[in-house]
Amino acid sequence: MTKFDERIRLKEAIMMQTYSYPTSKQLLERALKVIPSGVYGHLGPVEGSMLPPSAFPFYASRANGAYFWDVDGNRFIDYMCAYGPNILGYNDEEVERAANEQAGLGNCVTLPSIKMIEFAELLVDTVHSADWAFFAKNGGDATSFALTIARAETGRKKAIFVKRDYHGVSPWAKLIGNAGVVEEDVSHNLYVDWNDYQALENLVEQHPGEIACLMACPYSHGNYVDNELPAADYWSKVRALCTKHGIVLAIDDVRCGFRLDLAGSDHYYGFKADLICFCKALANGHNVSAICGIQELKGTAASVFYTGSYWFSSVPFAAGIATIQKLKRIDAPKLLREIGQKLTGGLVDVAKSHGFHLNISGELPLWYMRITDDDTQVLHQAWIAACVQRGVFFTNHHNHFLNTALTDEDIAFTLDVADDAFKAVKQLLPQYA
Amino acid sequence: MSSSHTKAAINLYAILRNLEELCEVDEASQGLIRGKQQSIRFSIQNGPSATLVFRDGKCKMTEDEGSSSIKLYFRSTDHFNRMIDGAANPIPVKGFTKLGFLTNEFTQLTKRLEYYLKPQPELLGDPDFFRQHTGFLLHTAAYALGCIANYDRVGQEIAKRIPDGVVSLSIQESGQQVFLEARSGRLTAMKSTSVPPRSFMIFDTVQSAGDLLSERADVHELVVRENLLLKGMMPMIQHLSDILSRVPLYI
Repeated sequence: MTKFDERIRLKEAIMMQTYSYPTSKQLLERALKVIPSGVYGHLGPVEGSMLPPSAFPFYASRANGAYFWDVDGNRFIDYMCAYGPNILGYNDEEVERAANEQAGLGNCVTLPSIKMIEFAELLVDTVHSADWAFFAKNGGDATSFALTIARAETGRKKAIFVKRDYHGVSPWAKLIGNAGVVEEDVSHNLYVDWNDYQALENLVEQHPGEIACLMACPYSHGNYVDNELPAADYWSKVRALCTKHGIVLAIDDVRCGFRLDLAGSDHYYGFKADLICFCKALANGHNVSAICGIQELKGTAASVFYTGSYWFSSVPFAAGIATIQKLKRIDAPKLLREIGQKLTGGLVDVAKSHGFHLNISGELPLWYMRITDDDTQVLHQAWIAACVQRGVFFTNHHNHFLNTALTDEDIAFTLDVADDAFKAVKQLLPQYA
Repeated sequence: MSSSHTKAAINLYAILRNLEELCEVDEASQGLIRGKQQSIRFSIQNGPSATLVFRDGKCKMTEDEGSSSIKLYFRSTDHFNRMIDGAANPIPVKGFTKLGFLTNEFTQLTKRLEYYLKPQPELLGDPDFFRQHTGFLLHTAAYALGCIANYDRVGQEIAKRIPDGVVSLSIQESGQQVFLEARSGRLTAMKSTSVPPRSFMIFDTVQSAGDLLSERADVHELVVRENLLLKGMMPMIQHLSDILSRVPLYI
């Protein structure tokens, strides 16, 4: 019996129709001939926490609002939001109008457009710690630039990172033992546990005058573990420690940016970063990232030669302006927290009705969830897979993302799916029935 | 630890350990040790050590230093590694009257092991042989993972990241299963365990397992096609994968 046959057998005992993905599978076989692993990186089934792969579609055909459709015509409520960029809903009318108008004028031109200045002005007006803005394309561009600025400013080599934090795919952002990483790539990296201020202070004192940068996400949202918010006085103490030792405090707000606070996640947690990195939600899916910084680092940022072929493209700038303006107008962080409360509260209740415990952690606009009844996470993986097969796109071990296009009807449908998925899981794993 | 030290550990604890399995599954090998009561101590200066015990028609490796009928001394890990490669001889320091077992039956056993571990290409077309060959590869990989995690400097760094618990590696078609237990940054391979695994790597067929372990297949392709099913605590498997990628440095 094939895995697809098994799903059909399972379907007979439950209410909802489950999806199948024959076209996705065909395309994957085609892709495997010419693309490493068919779909690589964080959108791939392996790295993207999409297990088992047969439960997930591999390729999308279109997207709109809170949904995407796969190549087999299945519709999914998208709780990954392209892993973050989609914050206003796919194809948001205002954003796309602004992007299209700019595209008619020009995009990748020999000289930058006025949109770059307007976008920088908007970010400086919006982001609490920003006295200037610099644009690139990916979150990793921004974090790499932050590290370079810190080293240029301080003349020091070392940087402190929080264990499990993710700052992109540059070799310095990886760990020794990861494929292709050599010791020299990470030899100046130091690591501390999240929320352990004393360990951080000890580390700083062990390396006097050597540390250029402390880079961290605003809260701990590593994969596979419950997310953890900062202790009440954590960031204020870290801020003071960095100031005392001349360490540049860089916040990686690539994932959280504009979902927690339009003024920056440092503002949300009550401190001021020296450098802050944005991407994902910055332009609702248009390709741009930003690094913002304090006045004292502006000259140093200018001294670092840092650029790319498409970094001055004006269409993403126009899209970013429209995105930020709309996020402000609708108070997106507040709206996302309300949506998150309804959704996660409902999911917890549905789980409880089946005798399961669903733990919600992190911040609601990008919540992390884990069924705690099973130390192996096999139960959680089975439930996630069953939800996906019914049209709700979750993944297993990553935080999820919300967008403002989600409706109460979408949430109600999600809860129905969650309920049916728990029924299916009890049949699939009778030890939990 | 030096790379020579890690390689010696792999040669001893992962390669030679296969004699245990060989004497279980290979009739010719069983015939060689039938009725024999011998033990060979491999003692490496500043390196790992172990004893192969042949008793009651079985072979068992133990790291404990007990009495042994034959003791072989190696001046260095390099010396031992060269012996495994057939480029050096051991120094017998005990059991001179029993060296016949070493030069006769034991030598034949190691040739039999090589027959399975480094087969002639035409043999791989025989399904029964391929199944045996893959079984030895799976054992070797599991024990080599443990050696790299515990001896290789980079492997040690990776192993620190592995959550505690047991990983099950199995082949659904043949039913073969081995386990790796991670505990406080150390990794131990074993053929059975009473601890329920926290994560699972399940090959659907012997072919899938053999192809991956022989580096003829891409692990990502096997995963997306579900020839290799992964479930449970994925960080355990992801970090093991980083260690596994270091195996070719030594074998």
